[in-house]
Amino acid sequence: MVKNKFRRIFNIKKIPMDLGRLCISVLPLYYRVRKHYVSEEARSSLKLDDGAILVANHTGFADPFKVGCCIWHRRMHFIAAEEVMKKGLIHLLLKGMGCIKIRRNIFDIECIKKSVDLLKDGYLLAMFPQGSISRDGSLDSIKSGAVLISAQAKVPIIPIYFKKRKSIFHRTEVAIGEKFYYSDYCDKKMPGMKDIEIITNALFEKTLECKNLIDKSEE
Amino acid sequence: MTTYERLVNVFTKVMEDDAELSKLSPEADLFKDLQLNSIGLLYMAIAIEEEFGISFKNEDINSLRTVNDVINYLESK
Repeated sequence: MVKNKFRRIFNIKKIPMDLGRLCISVLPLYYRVRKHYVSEEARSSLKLDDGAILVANHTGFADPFKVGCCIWHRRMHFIAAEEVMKKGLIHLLLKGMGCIKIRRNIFDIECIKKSVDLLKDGYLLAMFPQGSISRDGSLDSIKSGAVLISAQAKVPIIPIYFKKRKSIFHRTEVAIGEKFYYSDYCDKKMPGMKDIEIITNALFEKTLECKNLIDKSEE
Repeated sequence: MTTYERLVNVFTKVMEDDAELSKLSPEADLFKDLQLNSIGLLYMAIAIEEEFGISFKNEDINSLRTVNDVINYLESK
């Protein structure tokens, strides 16, 4: 465990990622993230040492940076659509910063396996399982990929909701929900498809709870 | 135990839906008959990997359409 943690912190392969993190270290000043927590328990959600999946709504291309601002002290991987990572320089930059490419037009099992391996190694993974960008911040549904990955890697899921700020003079409001494990909802070693669906609905409800918290704070 | 019987065990564990499992046969279409969606297929593939000790690649999994395709793939490994 200690050896794993040491290897995780001092890893030559992660140097491009750390340089990227250094470059974007000024972003917290730009986004001025204000965190809200749905409960006292949620306050400890981001105090993590091991792998976890951060599931957030998708309001724009800058969302990965906003998640990074919430938990800047840990290396974080992202899942990004192949279309975003196609172009040369952007591809290199995103890959260096730990983006995992997902091909949306095929059944991309390699992306799932890569994500599970990273989580088992103790890294964080940010996902935007709405599947597409919703600029007004509305939340209609969540795809079950995050739950599938969490069940395979046996790591918790942390729901996060971002409110798109009105202008650069406003702060970025972020609500953080309570972390949960798939085993909180299912005691089987291997959950079935119905369990995955139930846990995905629970994740949607928890993300909605975060959204309501932000909406209420603005009233 | 034949490959098909082992496969039926995996499908039963993952799908848990009697209505869809009743349509399970070697000729059954994974999507039309067994109503698997993209996540369902990926989950099934992961469960098959665990049961059979194999590793699917993207091109393998994208060529599977029926239960027979899965059996043929497993027997060729």
